[in-house]
Amino acid sequence: MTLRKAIPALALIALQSQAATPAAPPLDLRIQYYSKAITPEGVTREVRYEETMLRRPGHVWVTRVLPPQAATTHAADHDHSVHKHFNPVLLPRHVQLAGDKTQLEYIDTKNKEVIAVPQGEYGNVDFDGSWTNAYYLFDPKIVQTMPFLQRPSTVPGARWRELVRNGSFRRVLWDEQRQIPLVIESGDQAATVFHRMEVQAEPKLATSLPWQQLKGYSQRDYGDFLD
Amino acid sequence: MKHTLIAAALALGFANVANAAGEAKNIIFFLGDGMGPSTITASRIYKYGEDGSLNMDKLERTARVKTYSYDAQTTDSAPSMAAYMTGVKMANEVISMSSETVATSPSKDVNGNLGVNNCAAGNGTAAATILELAKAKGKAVGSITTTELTHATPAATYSHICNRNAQYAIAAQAVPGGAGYNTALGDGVDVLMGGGRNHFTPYNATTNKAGRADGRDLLAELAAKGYTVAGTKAEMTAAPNGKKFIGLYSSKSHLEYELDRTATPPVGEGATQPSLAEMTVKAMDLLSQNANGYFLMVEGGRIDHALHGTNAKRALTDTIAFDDAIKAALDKAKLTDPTLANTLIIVTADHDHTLAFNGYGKRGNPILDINRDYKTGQPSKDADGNTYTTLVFGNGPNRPNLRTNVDSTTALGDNYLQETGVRLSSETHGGGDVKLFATGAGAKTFKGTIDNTKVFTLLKSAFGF
Repeated sequence: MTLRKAIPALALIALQSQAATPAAPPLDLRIQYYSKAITPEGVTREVRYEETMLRRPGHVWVTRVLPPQAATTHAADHDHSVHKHFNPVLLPRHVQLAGDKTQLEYIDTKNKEVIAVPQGEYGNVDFDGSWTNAYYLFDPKIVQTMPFLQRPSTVPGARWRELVRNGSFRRVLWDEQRQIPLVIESGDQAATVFHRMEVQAEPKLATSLPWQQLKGYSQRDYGDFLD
Repeated sequence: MKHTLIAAALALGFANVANAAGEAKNIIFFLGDGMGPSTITASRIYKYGEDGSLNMDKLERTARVKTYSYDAQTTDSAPSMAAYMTGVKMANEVISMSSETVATSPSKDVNGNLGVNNCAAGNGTAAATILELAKAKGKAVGSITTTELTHATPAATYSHICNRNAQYAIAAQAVPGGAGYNTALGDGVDVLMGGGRNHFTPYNATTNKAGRADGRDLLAELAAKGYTVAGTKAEMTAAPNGKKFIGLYSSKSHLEYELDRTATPPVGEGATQPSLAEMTVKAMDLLSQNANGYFLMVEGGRIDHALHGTNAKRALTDTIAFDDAIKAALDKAKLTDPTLANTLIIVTADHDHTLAFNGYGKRGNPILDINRDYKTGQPSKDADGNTYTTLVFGNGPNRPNLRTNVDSTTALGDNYLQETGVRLSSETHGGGDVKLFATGAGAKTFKGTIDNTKVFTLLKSAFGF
């Protein structure tokens, strides 16, 4: 389970609050994920990766930051087969809010294709279907239910909160003004598992939005990649 | 006296041979796409418990089937189904063609869809299918599925093409009198059902982006040829006997998984889609109007798709829906043919997957749950002290960067993806043998470990062709 998946799963346990969600501004983000586990055999395993994220009203666009050597491989190599190679991790993920419905698609820039994922297949691409989780990275209503933590924050308007239950914890440094977690930490109190997600907002917003650059792209469906 | 006994024995022997051939007036061929032995066992436990039986388990005759294709140890659905339908081994991605046919991918049309068929005229020759042979003998024929109607398995019954992905060309092969029609279908397949209207209807930049670039409305053409055209369960139910029928129950892509079709509220277009059992019974109603008998192929096609995603829950629920369709067919057939003296029912799969049944779990432990020790009932642990599920896959997308405990609630969730050994973006098929079950007229010839091409020979023999 990735950290991105682990945190909302834990968060769902928390009680829902009645607090209204403040308006959330557009943001360009850089997100670093880190996980560490220590096994009973004395092995420490660590994982790091990064993503960038654009959020605008009705749109979230997430891209994995890839190392330079990854440019020689491709997520959907249609030169060899049109239905067997589809790795959603490597393709930009575009989540849209259309009315009250969340829509998910992946963008294959090499082949100029938009690959729509129907709701029934969300699980197969590690998407929980929640617009709130996609846009805010953590449900603001759940944040409001978490007790404050006496841990200093260097960011004005951001405060730590923590919830501990059954030997597990999750802590959030929540930026009230920008409606985004700056840090999420979770794990067990025995210190065998630890996850950390760190979010940095870019100083300026991008003016060229990738979902507006898809003219001429053909439409594919997740099912096209199943044999 | 001795001569008399020998003569009697010989006569009996000849009678047995004669009975083995040509017994079946009707054949229903059930194909669970990707439904390997472990999937069958897991589905049985999921629905009926360890000591229970699926409907397919109750069929009297069994065999194991080798599934390798002309060029691969592990087949895809195109050559494996085509081997059943034609008796010919062909290369992966090829649909009902001669062995030397080279799979050539289609290319994009002006709208970016795979509408340009690149199969050259000299690239192989068509291999006759059991559906075509049945049609030529005056029987009614049908092909129904939970996938797109143009997907590999149903396509292998009624079309011939060098690449399974040329779905717009495959659709055209089903339209009597139209450009690209497969004339071996005579006056047309009598019953067609599945999903994917987009392959049959014209491109529209707003409403049908995955539509046909040639502007043809194949459904209108089929209607002009006397077909009833249905888009929903209600329209299917209302369709009259005595006419050919095509039912496409999704605007594009496949029908919903059974778990989603029956959800509250149903997912996607599930609210208007029939179950596979309902489709099967309707198809039998329509086809049985022909006094010469019928051939019907029924595919549970989305078992395979859920397995590719390593989503065992959807795979098992689709397997149960497939098994329910078998029960519905048996009940329906026995209304007019109580001993199945005239009807052969075959159930098999086209290939395996990499689903594995894992650990020493306790009897009664939910099959989708974390594994619990058969002696203590406590969660089983891996070498790092973490829990794990009973069902896992050899490869697929969910190989965690860091393995941690799997909790029971998560494992039992609709969207839980079983963990995998080798990390691949999509789980692959498996190359192991699959099961075959048979009952009714001619069923006794299905036995032993046989090649998938032999199934075609036995079907033909059962029909007396």
